[in-house]
Amino acid sequence: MRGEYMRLSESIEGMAVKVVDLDAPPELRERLLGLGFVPGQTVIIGEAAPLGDPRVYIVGGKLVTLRDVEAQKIKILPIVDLIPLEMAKPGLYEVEDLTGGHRFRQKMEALGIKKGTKIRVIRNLNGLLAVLINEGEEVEIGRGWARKILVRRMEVKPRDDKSGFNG
Amino acid sequence: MAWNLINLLLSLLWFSAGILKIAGIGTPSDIPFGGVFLVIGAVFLWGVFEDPVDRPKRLSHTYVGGMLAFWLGIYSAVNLIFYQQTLYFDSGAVILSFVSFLLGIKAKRKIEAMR
Amino acid sequence: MTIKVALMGNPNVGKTTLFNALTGSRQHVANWPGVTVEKKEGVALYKGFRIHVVDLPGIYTLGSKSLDEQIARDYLLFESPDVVVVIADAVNPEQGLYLLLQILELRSDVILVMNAVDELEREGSRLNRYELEKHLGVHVIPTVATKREGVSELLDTIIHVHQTRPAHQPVRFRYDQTVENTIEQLEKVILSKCENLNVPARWLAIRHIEGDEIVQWFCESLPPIEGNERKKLSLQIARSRYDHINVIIREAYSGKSAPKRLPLDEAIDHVLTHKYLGIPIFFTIMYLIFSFTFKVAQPLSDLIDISVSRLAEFAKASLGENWLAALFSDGIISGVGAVLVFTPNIFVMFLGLGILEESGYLPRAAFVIDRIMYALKLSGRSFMSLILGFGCNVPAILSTRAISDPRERLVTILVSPFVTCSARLPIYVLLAGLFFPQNAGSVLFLIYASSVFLAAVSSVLLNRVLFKGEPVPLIMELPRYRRPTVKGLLNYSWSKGRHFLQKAGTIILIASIAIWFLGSFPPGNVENSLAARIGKFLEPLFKPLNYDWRITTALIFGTAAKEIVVSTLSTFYSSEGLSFTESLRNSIDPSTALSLMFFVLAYIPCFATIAAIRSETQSDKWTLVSLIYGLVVAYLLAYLVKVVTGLWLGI
Repeated sequence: MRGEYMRLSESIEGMAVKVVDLDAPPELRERLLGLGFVPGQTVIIGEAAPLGDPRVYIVGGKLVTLRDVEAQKIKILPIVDLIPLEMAKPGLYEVEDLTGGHRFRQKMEALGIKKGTKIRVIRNLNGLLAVLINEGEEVEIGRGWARKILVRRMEVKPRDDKSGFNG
Repeated sequence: MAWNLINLLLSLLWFSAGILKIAGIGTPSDIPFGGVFLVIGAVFLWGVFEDPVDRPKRLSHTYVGGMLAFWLGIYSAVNLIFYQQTLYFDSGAVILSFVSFLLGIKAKRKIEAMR
Repeated sequence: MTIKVALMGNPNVGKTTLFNALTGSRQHVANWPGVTVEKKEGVALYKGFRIHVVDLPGIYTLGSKSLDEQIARDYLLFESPDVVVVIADAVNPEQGLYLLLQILELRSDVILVMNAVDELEREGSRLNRYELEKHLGVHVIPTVATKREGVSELLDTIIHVHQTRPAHQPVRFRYDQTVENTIEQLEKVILSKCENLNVPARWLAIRHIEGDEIVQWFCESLPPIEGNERKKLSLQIARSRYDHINVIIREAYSGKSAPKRLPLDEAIDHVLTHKYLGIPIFFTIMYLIFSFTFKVAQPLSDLIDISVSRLAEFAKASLGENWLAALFSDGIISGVGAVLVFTPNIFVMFLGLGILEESGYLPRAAFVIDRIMYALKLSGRSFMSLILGFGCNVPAILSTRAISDPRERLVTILVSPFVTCSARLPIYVLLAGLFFPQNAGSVLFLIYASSVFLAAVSSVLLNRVLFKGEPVPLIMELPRYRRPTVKGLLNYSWSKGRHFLQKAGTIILIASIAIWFLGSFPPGNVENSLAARIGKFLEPLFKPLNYDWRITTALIFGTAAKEIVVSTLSTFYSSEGLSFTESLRNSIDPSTALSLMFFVLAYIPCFATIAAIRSETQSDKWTLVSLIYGLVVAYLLAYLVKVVTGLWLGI
């Protein structure tokens, strides 16, 4: 896996990740280190606040809240990095498994999706995805299907700036 | 299944109490106070929607709803004693709170036994 | 013999509980001037020793620059306590031991307290204190602070460490070779450049690598370390510390599985921070606390009200018809009594907030509401304070002490007077009922909505104009839920409510006497009293708002306590033969009444609030800014309301 690391703010609830590096200025860095966000530390992603921004992270048994602004400064590597395609943010993914029945697999086969297929997610509107299959043509995939496709992230695009909340 | 039914039943009761309070039927109308009834009803209702596999989550709605109901029950009791409110509505609210509270405690025991 | 002991540790590990257990009833809360976060001091008398205990703010590291961390670190460096007690959570000790390792680099006379061992045992795991002692080289005391278990052993150990220091050499902790090389080089530079160091050179070297500016204070002009190199080294240092801690934990704990949350905690969190239910539940809880504050406390308030008026009558009856009797009954007893009436409300409110704080809900509430406050450049924490203001501004301002960021705290204090307190309610009710009988409820709602709007706009404005700052990070630990104890709750509400009684009591007493004198001299017609003269003198200023001298005087008196506005109006208007409400309705028009309500909403808060602003900001300048800002906003708002409604109502 080459390229940029994922950020803690891009992780998904329930994921377990390993801290790789901190990009924070010295003061914030010291604070994060004191709370246990050190390289090599396992962090489990907890629930988000009602409006999606601060989130709870479980570090060494403690619950710590971070805003996305701060979580964005922590580089991570997913430990268990399989997610349903439904939850995938834009980026490149590899299909790991299809969790549907026989008919579902046939349909996917027809689209060219099987284990090992590379899927590039272009956008994800609440589970309705626009994807490129093996960098081919753009295809739309609905939520019902996307839920049954387990994928692993291959590279990370910079997260689109959703923190443009400047008061 | 039983807990699903309890949550549904409690939420229905709380919702109807809230609507009575807001509309002022059989009790003076009080919109924010009626809102509290609705929120408690919603807490129970969402317990019904939880993933059926995840039992602790369902029970947690019963528990938290029961805790909120406990405080509302005390408040209703004070209303009843000191402020000569409508006898039927307020004593009904006290009883409903008490029942919800007991069920909440039961849910809590269940969650604790689950580890 | 006196031993100075500093208590240090992460937030929420039971530091204050241990402090109370150590010092017992002798504790007093000292407000250290100039700092925003409280340090508590207390004394324990034990086996002939005076053990002076200082409870420092909870911190995670010695290295960061936030105010509470600075206070704790500066105390450690410059006040030289004799013994340092570091408290760690026995259940999740990692972060606590990290702080311990940092402190051990500075000094060796440290005692480690592993608190809440009972919760650990309930989880089915055990802690071997001797294993910990072996690895860390300090005394280790397991305690249950809530049940006072291990407290006397801790006191014995404090005395022991103080007498025999240093008992055993703390284990010198070695880092990676690259880090050690840099430390060694720096140590040489430090020792050659700076003499009379009273801190270890090794500690200075490490702090310098970690980018702590305090190093300059001990030893100037150390060779700078390039940013990337510094980051690499400090990450390595932190990593080695945690690796070391993990090894120790593996050796010292038995039966400890991977850290997991209690199922009940997880369940409660799921609902309380729920995507859709979280915010409604928060408002429900706040609403219930308000209702309790007003309704549950009301019977008690009524009781006090009756007693006060009985007492006033009694004073009048026993002292006879002279000015002294009038001063006592109309001035002092009624004036001070008007405040005492609110005591039950205040205590009930703090009881409610105590439950929220002790149970661990408060940080969750801050978490739930944070996104909204972020837009206003405040954090969820300051929202809690503002909400309190609907009851009374004074506890709202006092409660900002828990806000660790000084800038955010100041803004919260400055905007909190705009949150309309319960003392202003009688004025709104009187005027709305009298002039807008059809829409009284809507008018009241408009006032409350405007109050929230004013506070929000002012916060954004103050941040823009005065600070231009970045939003404060919300890095907060959510503690385990705990069942609040009766003792803890009583302690909490008494220590908070006492302030209200003391400060408001003294100020109200003086104000009541002053207003009584101004209203009664020279004797005879009120029209000629000093109070009336003041009102008439200032009347031209309020001409554009169409307020006559009576309203002006009432507003001036209302600065003592807002309820006084109503009682002053009733005194002045009833003297014309007609009933007070009738003559008031005849004297002013609805648009003036509405503008008066808005003026009352925004203008100078009561004396107690001003005193609270002064004592909490420790600054005359900010107190003045708050006063003038409030007055200007009130005047402009009242004028605007008058003009707009004047046009609208066609008056």
